[in-house]
Amino acid sequence: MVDLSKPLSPTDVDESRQVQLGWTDYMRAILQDYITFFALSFVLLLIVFTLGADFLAPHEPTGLNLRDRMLPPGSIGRGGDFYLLGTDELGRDLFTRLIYGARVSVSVGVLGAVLSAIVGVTAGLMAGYHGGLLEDIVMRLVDGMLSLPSLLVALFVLFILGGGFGNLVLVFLVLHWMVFARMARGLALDARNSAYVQAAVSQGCKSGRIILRHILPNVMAPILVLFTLEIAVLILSEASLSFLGFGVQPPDASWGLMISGGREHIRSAWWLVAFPGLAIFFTALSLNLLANWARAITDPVQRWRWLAKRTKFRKSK
Amino acid sequence: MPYTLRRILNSILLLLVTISFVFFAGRMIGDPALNMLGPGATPAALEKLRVVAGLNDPLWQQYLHYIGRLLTGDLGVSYRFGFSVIPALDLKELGQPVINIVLERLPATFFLAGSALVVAVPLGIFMGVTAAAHPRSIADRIVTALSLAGVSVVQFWLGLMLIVLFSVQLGWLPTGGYGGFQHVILPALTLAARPIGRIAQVTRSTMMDELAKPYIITAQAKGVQNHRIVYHHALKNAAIPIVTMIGDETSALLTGAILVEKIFAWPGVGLLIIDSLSRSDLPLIQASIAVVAALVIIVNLLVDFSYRYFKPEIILGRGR
Amino acid sequence: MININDLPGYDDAAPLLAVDNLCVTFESFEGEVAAVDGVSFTVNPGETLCIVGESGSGKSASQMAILGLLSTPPAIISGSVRFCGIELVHAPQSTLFTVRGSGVSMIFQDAITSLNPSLKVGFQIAEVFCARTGSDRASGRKYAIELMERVAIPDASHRVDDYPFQFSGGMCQRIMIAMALALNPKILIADEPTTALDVTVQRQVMELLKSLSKNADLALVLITHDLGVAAEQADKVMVMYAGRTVETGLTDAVFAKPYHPYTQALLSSMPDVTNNFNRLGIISGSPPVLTKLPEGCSFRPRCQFAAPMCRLNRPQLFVSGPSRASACLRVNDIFKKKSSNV
Repeated sequence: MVDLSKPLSPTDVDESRQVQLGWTDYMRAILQDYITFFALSFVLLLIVFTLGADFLAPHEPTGLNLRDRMLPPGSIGRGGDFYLLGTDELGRDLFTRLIYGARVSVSVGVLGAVLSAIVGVTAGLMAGYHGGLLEDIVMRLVDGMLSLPSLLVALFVLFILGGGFGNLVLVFLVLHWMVFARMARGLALDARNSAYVQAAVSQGCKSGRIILRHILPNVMAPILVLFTLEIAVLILSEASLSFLGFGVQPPDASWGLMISGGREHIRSAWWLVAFPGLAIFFTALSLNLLANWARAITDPVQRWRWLAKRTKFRKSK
Repeated sequence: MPYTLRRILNSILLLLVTISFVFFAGRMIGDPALNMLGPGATPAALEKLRVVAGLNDPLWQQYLHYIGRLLTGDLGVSYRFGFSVIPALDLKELGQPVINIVLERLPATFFLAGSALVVAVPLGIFMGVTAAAHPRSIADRIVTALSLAGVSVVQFWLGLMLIVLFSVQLGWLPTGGYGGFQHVILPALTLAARPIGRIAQVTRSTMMDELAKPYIITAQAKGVQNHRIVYHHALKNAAIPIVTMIGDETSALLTGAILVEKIFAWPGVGLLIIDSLSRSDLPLIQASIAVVAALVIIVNLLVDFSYRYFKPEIILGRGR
Repeated sequence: MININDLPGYDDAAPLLAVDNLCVTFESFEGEVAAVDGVSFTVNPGETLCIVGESGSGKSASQMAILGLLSTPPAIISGSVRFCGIELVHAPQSTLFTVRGSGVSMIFQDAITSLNPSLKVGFQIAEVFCARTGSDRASGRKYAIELMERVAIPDASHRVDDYPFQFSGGMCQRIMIAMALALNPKILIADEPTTALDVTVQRQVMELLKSLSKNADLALVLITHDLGVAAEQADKVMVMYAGRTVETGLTDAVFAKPYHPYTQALLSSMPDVTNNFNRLGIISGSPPVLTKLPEGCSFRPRCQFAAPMCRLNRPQLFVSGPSRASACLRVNDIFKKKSSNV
């Protein structure tokens, strides 16, 4: 309690707004926020399975077992094997294939997003900070490429270059860097006119140092949110392109390719299509939820509201 | 130069760049004559085709030729449709003009994309507005969940699941093909899921911002009814981001149709693109891409011009 | 459309606006905040009431609550607001819509953002007129021109089709006034109508309000932090501090002999031509944080007359003369001291 015998001073007011919250409070709040907790767990699980596929998968990914073909989810095969999500037309365990498929789908998405972010953010920050001709050229390119139908261009380029992991990542880089560039340029424009950058300039900082040490850390939050969303977008695009036969090529297996393969058996074995699609759905959903959450908590007012609702903070006051 | 003219010229330039890119990139996959006739062709036939099609000229000459003919609406002839090369004397006799093939397929794509838009735009806006008008209500939660689901779902997978449910299991609707109302329901719903989600999301967030602005309280204070405040006062001010999103999603529909048309065997431009890609029918690929790119660029232009209607400052020349 | 006279509770003999023990509470992260705490006042036809106070004293919140413009939740509203006998607190939406505009209208501080940027001003002015009377757009436009002329907007017949961004701040405020007058309300609540304007324009707008209230028998509730405005315009003054009324009375009486130390402090901080050699008084300390109001009298920490008794309980408003009331426990002591000093 504040001593009421003294007049209120401005410092009292400030103290009341600056209750320190540690990371444990954030952890507790996440546990209370079921939706974010779900999204975070799903993404963490996905990362664990992607990295540890060789140890965690219950079966061999290419383990043909012609006696156990087309078993529905939850079946026990003739050899006593348990198939959580059923088997495909060659008797391979669907769950195992999903885990290995995640490797390709997730790494295409993450790699594509990382490269686009690096190129886009660099171009955008330079354009926004330096302005002039550089900005004109970059923004022309960005506006032009953004108004093209990206899936169609991707299809055409992959038709020319041929599919496969590397080309897919390359195409994603070429067709998605603009999204980052546009945002980074806007942020850099704002930052260039801000007091902290003006202060750095007046102290004689070089422009490279200003961009890296002063602007970049301050614009990181919105870029990370966009990055999360872009991973989801790229995983969806990868699925579409692979489904059409222009993305990842067999024997690599991605979720999109698995749906494409399962399509032939859709009348008899729905699970071959349903589960890979659900895997993509939940991945994209979790990434979207995490991005929304991250956007919310980087805003101080919303972070306060989010934390206050879920911690003991409110009660203690 | 007036803004309108500048935007139109920009768009034409962009289209030209796209078409040129497709032209030169298309030459990277090898000899067009061999591509046309297939590996079994005799050297004599190949040479004859090269002469007829002008493939022996320098590449820049061929390019200028191509652009020149393009201006008259001639995008070349198909390698596959009605193709009879030997012994053709004139290029016109080689096969069907690709532009005709593409234009023939356009109505089907328009029908499909239009049906999807007719569902997605009103529904998306209605969902977003309802959520914004009652923040944190049950309706808001439902709208948020549905729009997230719409954005996260894989379109073609949704289409397949709808086929399994409504065509295979229940037998209510056809699994695919072109026809009347029954045929368009499933593909249109498949195509609409994502735009519904995106439009609802952007409507919700811009409407929330607008509804918190002072002019809303003024309207309330002078006695305007709530639904009028929401739909007349706020929605018009929220229009620009919403219309931009509708434009983006319309472009995405035109290309998203590629997958949906394939799944539902819907004979539109999308299916044509897939077919021509799998047959390496280069002129047809070039023409389809040119037409779709032109459509997308036109949609972008229309969206841009519509801003003036929603923001009076722009018409009256006070900049943006 | 329903008329005000048809609403349940309508009573010709009742006071025009009677506010009784109005409370507005907000839920915040730091607990409940009483933005308005038991405010009462009445407004009679043609009268001008000035509500004076610092920002955060609850003057705006109380007026927003009268018209039901605070969304509930987060605001929790209790007490009673009667317009011609019609209860407005927790009234059905239909009652509120009928009373807003045609009974009580309100205009706001920042006129430019308070007008809809994408609708023509003529349309905005006549919008409710058209909706209530079922008039078509052409007669609505004519009516809008008429109203714009009434608030002295030059060249009204041409400017009726312009958009708000084409007008200056003062003109926007006139447009908002025209808009508020469209249904001939009996009361106009003006929430700091001139704060955002240039000084010369301020005067013009104030004069306009004054002439409107005289000619149209319009009661004005003027929210302001400017005592000069209050002295010039008001028949009655109500001073608010930290959500409560601290002093109320006829303007002349309050200015001649302020009872509450806060009112006294406010008055001494005003420049005055007659004693321009004296230093202006300042009020020490800062406005209270509503979540952490001091015990007893809210003004105590800043009050030069504060005594131990002021901590014990929150002073109630007590009547101390004809239509005069103040909320200070030490009124008598203060005046004794003052007269002994002289």
